[in-house]
Amino acid sequence: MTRYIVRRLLLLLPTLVLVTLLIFTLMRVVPGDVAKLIVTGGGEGKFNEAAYHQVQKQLHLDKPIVVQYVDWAGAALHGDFGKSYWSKTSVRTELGSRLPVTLEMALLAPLIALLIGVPLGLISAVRRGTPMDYGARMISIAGLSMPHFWLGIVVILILSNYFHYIVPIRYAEVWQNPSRNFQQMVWPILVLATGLMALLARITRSAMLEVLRSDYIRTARAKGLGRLMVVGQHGLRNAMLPIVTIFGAQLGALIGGAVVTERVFNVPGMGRYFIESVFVRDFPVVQAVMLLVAIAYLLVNLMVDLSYAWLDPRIRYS
Amino acid sequence: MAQEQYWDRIATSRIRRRTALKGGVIASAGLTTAFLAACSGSSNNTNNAKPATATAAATAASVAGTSAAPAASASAAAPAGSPAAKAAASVTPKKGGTLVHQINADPPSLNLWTEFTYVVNVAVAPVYNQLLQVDPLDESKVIGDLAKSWEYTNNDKTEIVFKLQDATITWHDGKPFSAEDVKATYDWLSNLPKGVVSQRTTAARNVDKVEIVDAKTLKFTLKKPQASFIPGISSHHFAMGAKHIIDQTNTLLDSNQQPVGTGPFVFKSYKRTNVMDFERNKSYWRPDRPYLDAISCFIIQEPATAITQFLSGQLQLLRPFAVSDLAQITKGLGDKGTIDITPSLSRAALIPNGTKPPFNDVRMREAISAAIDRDEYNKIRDEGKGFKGAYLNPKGQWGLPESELAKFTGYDGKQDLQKAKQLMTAAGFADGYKGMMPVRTDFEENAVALQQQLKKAGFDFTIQVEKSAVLTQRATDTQFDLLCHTWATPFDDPDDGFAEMIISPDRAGRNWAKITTPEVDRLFDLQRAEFDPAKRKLISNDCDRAGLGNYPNMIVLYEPNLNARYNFVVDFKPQVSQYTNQRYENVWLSK
Repeated sequence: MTRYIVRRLLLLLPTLVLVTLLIFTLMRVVPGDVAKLIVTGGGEGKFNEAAYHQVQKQLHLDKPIVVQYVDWAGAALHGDFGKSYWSKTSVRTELGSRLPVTLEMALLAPLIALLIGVPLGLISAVRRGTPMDYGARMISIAGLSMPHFWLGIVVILILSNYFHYIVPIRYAEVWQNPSRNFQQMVWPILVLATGLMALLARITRSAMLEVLRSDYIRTARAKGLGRLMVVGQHGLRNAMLPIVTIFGAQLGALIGGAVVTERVFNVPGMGRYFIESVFVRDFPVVQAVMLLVAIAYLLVNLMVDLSYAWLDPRIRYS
Repeated sequence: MAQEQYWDRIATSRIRRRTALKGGVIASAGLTTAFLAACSGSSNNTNNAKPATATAAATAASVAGTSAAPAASASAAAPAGSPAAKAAASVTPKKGGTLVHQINADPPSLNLWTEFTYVVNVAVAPVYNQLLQVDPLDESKVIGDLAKSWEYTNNDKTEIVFKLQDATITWHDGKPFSAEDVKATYDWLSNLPKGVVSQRTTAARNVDKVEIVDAKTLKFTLKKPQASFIPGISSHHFAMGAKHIIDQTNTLLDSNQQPVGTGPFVFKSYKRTNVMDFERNKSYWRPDRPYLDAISCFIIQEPATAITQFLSGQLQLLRPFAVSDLAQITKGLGDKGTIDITPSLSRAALIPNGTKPPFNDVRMREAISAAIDRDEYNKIRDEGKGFKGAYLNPKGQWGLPESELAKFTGYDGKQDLQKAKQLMTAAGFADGYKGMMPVRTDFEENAVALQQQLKKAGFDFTIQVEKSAVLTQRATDTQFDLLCHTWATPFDDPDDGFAEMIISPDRAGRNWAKITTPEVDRLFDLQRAEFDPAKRKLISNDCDRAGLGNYPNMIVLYEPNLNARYNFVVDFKPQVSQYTNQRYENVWLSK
């Protein structure tokens, strides 16, 4: 098992190199010239050829792409992601202030989705054909159908108009003011969790229905095991494999949702920073965020793979 | 009457839609609602304000069509004699409180000298003074700021002597302000370091030299006479920089990329994509100013979020906002606030590619203008609140009268399909024309409305929606047939209006159509050196006519500028330019 983990961790390195190469190349081949954008003040000002070449030189965009990549990768290995082309501030510092916000959302939203989605799917499967099943299915379909941006705005309007509650406008870090942080973060986290919760509920229901029809479940029941033991120990554990797979694969979608949710709730997270940087071709920011996201994605998938062995003893990695 | 009915209809239909929307969501999102109920107990928190109760009283919507006029002669106008002071004489301003407002995007940086977008000066201007400023309560006047007076000292008006304020002025870092700082600022602005772009400070490039006469006097020598020089340097982009910082960082910001000025508010903190905080400059040189203790400027990108925060009272100013949100804000604000609608300097326009057929033919360009139904577009996009105009603000001092404007094809507001088709036939396009119409993401709806109008005349344009980075490249490389764009100028002045897109490409720099009208260039130079406002207006009108006749840039509509504020925010008057009056020095809160 240890050898497997070490091997997987080592395999992360070439994958990360490939990801960075891909992002590095893609950002430079898609239309949109950052030097031109800077010279024209975001596209609204006058263009000056001499200034354009100066900006290209300052940003090292006049160098061959391979040289640019090697320079960037070398610095990134030392934790230096460079400076934003626009704000001239250190990308590492910027990410340092935004990462906790995004982490809070990225950790709590899946957790809430898991805590609500799996039991909902479970109840729906066990109580198949009953009003509880219909209710759970309705909730999950509604959760899947509602886009994050729409749900976010509706939540703000409901809070404001019906509960006379306004989400605090000023963001506070959890260690500075936990109460205000909770008040501000609970809504975007819930909105972000909705889609994943609905998906998990549906996957859990379908996986459980499959498992509950299996011979070993019938045998367990015939042995006289209690309902909780049959469903929890024998049923759910065997149904967990597709749930865990989907859960891991949804990380990317969660990041996409976080961008929209951060905007609607005015949360200063990494998602907004990333998207805005893509629009203005702020390469150092995009590359750094993509690197972090790729590392997170790869680690989550490694954990998902490792959890297979724990969930299903027939799977061995040695 | 008809307009009132129209607004009633709009308001009614909005309420129906919104009510249905909320009802549907309450029914479907039971789980979320239960959570809300659990958490609503925290509403006694100081951050929670009850949302504004809708009242039947209509909000006063004031339409102000004012413009900044050049102050060509010397004036020692100090705030003491300004309308601000007169207003203060009748009502004693109250000290204290925090002004909370918002901008809709994160500033790329806090550098007023180099950044183009208005969000930078709306946020950071309170930190600085300029040499001169536009009167906060009367934008037709330029008044002194760090300079108490100024005068032209030679006949061709290329020498100006500025007298600095007598008061002891210090920078926020405690160092004294002096004439050296003014010289360092204008030396930097008139000779930009290599690779630095400063779009909004072009007036400074006409400065030949700045000489320090004595500790409180400076003499500016201009390369050429320029009537717009004085109003040109009165915007926030001409923020006064400190010599000791320029020496250190070679720019306006200190080594931490933070603004340090002499202005009424001191920069305190900046949480990117969330909020910027400023506090009162306790040693501000102007007595009894500012009234406010602090300013908080939130960065809220989502309009729905900003409107909710405004109507709940967490924001005190909301600007700019879309016409489509006017009914909601008017209703929500009731008689507790005011909505100001002014003409903006943003022009929705169609820009033809004049470097290749068919739009290198003036007949095809005129056909486009004939095919646009400007009045209909105004109803669709701006609910009738926009303004028809030429290249200069139609409601301002320099604009072409509407009767004159209507003489040019399409500018009377009515679509003339017959004329459009005749012109196309004459140009060899009797069967119509197919082309590409790129547009930036935020202007997509403009393009859709215009595409449908142009189709009726036989123009079949495919819309290409592009992000700013791509559109900029296409515009500067002239990779388009017809560009749908909205272009804005910082000031209502002929220099700005014509120099942006209409004079020849080698001079304008942003003449994306690449169309030259020699008469425009000649008249542009003529008005630039004319210091008599009446004569300058006549020349500017001729220049407008010369430009319109060649159809290099079809102005569809001037968009309205909408600002909302609570009535307890006193002595804040939105101006046509978004680059002036953003300092809140005279603003106070009456509650």
